[in-house]
Amino acid sequence: MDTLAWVYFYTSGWSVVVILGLAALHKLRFSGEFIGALAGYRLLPPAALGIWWIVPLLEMLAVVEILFSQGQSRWLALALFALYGAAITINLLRGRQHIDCGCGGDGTPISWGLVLRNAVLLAFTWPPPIPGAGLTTATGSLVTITVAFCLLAYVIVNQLFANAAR
Amino acid sequence: MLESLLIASQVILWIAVIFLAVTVYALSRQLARLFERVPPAGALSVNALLQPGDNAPIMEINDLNGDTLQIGGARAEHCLLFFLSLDCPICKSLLPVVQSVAAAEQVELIFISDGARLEDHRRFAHGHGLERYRYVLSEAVGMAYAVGKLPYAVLVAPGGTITTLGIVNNREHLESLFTAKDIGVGTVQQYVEEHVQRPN
Repeated sequence: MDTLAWVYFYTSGWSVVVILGLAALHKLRFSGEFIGALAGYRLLPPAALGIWWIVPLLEMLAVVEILFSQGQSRWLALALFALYGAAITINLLRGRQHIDCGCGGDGTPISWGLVLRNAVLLAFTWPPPIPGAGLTTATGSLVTITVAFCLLAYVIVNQLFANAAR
Repeated sequence: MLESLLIASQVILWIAVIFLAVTVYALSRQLARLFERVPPAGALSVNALLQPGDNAPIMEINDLNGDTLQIGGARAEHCLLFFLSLDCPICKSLLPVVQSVAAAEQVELIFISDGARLEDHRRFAHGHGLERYRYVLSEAVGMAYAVGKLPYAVLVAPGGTITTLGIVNNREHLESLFTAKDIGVGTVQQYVEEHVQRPN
């Protein structure tokens, strides 16, 4: 079962790195959109919106943490996904289903499906058992394909959520 | 080692298959909702003068051959008036479609055009094989039927009333005229009003 452990270890790590990295870049590039979404959550006082850049900064730091620890330390990413999940849940409970989730791409209103998606990402950042020796080239190829599949699945899920709202 | 790799690969593939199955299901649901929301494609009816159900204006006109032809009024079968012009590329691309639809629906087809010289129209009709049909060159008909945009089509019932009318840009629009005849709804706007609940 060592191969499966390796595949999970690297796939979860790389997927989170790419998703968080792209999310941070997207937030910096379309900052207006992101600030609008952030304000929509009504969790921060308006004055605090001025330091919106702290969110993409934390995402970048989470990426750096995972990369430098070679996938073993994922705490910042875990905290961020927990925070996002909580923010969405709070607004769903408030009955504000119409607000944009700020996920980037096509506008997507928040939903329980998004909470579920976040839970999967959260599971990916849960500290994985570090597998023993035995990473081979074949396993590496399997990891590459699996990471590609995970990212594609993430994009598909996001698009389905965006479509469902139209 | 190889066994371990195969097991891992198998597990991943199963996860992928299940994910894809769920995705296909979600897509099919979204597709079904899309079909519910998109109203039937149809000819857009913009006519200030005439409404479906009105009597078609009756006119006596000479066709390209010089024979007298009556447009509107009672006749044996449905009559499709197709308004075109020589400088309208969509009209030209629709000519084969109009002919095949008219043949399939067994209606009389009359082409009505204006502008340009009689000679040009004769050459046009010859070039596109329209000699089999009545072809009228008259500005007055277009005015009487309040045709503003081309290509435009009017379907006249045997009794001389207008079944439906509208701008036709493709085969779906043309066929929608006959769907209108079959289900007894004048325009797509009327159909949407009566049959489609708009999402709030």
